[in-house]
Amino acid sequence: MSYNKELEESINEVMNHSNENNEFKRRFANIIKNAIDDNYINKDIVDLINLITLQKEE
Amino acid sequence: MKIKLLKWEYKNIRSILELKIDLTKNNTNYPVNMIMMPNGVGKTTTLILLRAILSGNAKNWSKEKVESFKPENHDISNGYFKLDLNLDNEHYSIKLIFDYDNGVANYQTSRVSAGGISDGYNIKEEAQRVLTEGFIKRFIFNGELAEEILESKSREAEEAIKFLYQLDVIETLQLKISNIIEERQKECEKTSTTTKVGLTRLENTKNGYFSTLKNLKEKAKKLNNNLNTKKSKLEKVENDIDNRIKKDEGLKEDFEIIEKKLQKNEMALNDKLNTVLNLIRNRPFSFSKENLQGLKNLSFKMKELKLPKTTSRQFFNELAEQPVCVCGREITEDEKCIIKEKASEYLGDDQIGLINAIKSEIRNISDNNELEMEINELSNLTSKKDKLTTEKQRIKTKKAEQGDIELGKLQDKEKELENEIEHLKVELEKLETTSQKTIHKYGLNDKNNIYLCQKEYDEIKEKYAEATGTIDLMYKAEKTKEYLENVKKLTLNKLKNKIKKETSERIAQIISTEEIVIESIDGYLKLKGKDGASEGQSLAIAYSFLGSLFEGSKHDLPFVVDSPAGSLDLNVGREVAKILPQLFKQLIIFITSRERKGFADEFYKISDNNIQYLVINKEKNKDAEVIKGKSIFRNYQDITEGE
Repeated sequence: MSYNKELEESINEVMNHSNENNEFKRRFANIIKNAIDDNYINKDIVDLINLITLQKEE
Repeated sequence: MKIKLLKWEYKNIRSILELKIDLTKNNTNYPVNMIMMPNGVGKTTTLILLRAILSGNAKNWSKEKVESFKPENHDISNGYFKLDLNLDNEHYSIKLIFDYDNGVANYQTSRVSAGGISDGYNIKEEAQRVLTEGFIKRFIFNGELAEEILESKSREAEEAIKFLYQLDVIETLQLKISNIIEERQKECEKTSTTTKVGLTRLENTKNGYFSTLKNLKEKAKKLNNNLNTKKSKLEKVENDIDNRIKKDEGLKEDFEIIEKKLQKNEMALNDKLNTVLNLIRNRPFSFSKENLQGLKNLSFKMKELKLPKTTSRQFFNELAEQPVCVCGREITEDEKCIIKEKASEYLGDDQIGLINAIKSEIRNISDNNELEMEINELSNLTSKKDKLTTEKQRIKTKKAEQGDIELGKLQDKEKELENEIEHLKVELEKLETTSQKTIHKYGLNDKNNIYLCQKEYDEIKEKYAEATGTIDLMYKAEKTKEYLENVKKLTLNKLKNKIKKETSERIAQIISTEEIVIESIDGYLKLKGKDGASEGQSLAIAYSFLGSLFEGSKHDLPFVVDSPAGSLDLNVGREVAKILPQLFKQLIIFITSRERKGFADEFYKISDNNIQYLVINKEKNKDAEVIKGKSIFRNYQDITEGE
């Protein structure tokens, strides 16, 4: 099952405004798609989280 | 998710003792089903039971509620309501069984993929997650929802959008992330540092230990340098003393003799020390008579007990593979299993070999006391060195007593240096020792001992690394959840705008007498310039809203509605009747004869292949019956009035 048009648009918009790398953006969209198919894999979620780059506080 | 209702059946349910409703023809669903059910026959009951079948919640019903379904004036112990449906192209037959005597309702599910009939409500898990009571009431509709959608305190409109457009999935994902982080934090038992403040504190402690360790090592280095300097100075002073004495012709000869003896003794001492160390290394048991005796006792016991037994594990494993035992008896399969199990209690061949080697070695240990002799000689040499040193010192003292001031000064200096060296050694020992005995003796801690400080530093470094990892993961998880939240909000806004527009357009189609526009969808549908709507208008708005919702949703669900035209005027009723079939692929409408006029007219235009008309007729003291046909449907109860 794919997600609806509005959801797809929103994912793209949010990711385009973020500073994350392409790999994160790709996995972010996939995780949501898998979740819609009721397919949650903890490892995929953890891998996604680890791709985030934290800004170091000055 | 795709649901198609196929048929249902009543048995001993309120006023219906036995009845079957089939929504199919030749195994194909009618897109529209008009069911005329007079008041009191069971429209409301049917909707309640359809919701219960789909949600599985009847098992929680109270005794009173269950008993309320019992037919009156009949001594009946049980009844049931059974629904056949297609759920994502899989056929289910779900029966809700009423035990009136005990006031209990239970389910039975028949599902081909599960191998037949099973007790309980057993539809597939993904569907169970979606088919909540809240969700079901949106497509098994009885008009209450219409009020909720417009009620300002309600969040029904927004919740319906979230559910039907899968935004609840994002919330589940956010929850999953929180759970993963929580589990990870629980796993980190070594540290409870899960806040930034705690992490800073940990970092400061780590840096503190690092600094202390650095200082201690610097101090040790300085002490070592100082010690070496002092030793050099001492050596020089000792040489000066020796040279001074050698200048004295009366003492020179004796002094030189003693020096030579000392040198010779030193060499012998070193050789003897090496010999003793080698002996200890090669025959450690010789070091202690008690150890040696203990080994001999062990050897004796092993011999007495005939250890190791020659029968090994390998023997039993091989025996278990044979059909027949060594005694000639057949070995059964059960016995083979037991033999293999018990074989592990015996030693393996390699272990037997090792033990035999130990026995042999112990046997070969001679009682010779070579080590003892060497240690005695070492002791003698050490005593001799002490004597020679004392003798040398005596000569020095004699010289000093002769009034040699310079020598006196040198000896004082020597003494002073020796004391300083001793002091330095003690300080260095405190800094560098790893011996627990010495640590305890001086009461040392991580502030004044390198080994203890290093230990603390290593530990805190590990804690810090662990905490840093956890804190970082937490921040990253929060950021991911934030992205998800933004996606959800953005999607919800887009959907609200879309549905708002479509709903308003549909309302305009239905209600031509007044302009009703949806201003916004907060939790509820907010009407522009109006605080509320009449009952009829609310119904029209609800149908428009639900129609817009379902049209764009990925879910393909039936729409079951009771008295859809209830409070609608004829014009509005007609408009609603026009759009309903366009919005839902399977429509099941319960209607009374009063509601027929105006509303049902639009349905008569639908092709006969796509619609069926059913009348549930019930006469006094007779059971309900199904009568099919458009004509009877159109005229039902009209005929009765005309008689």
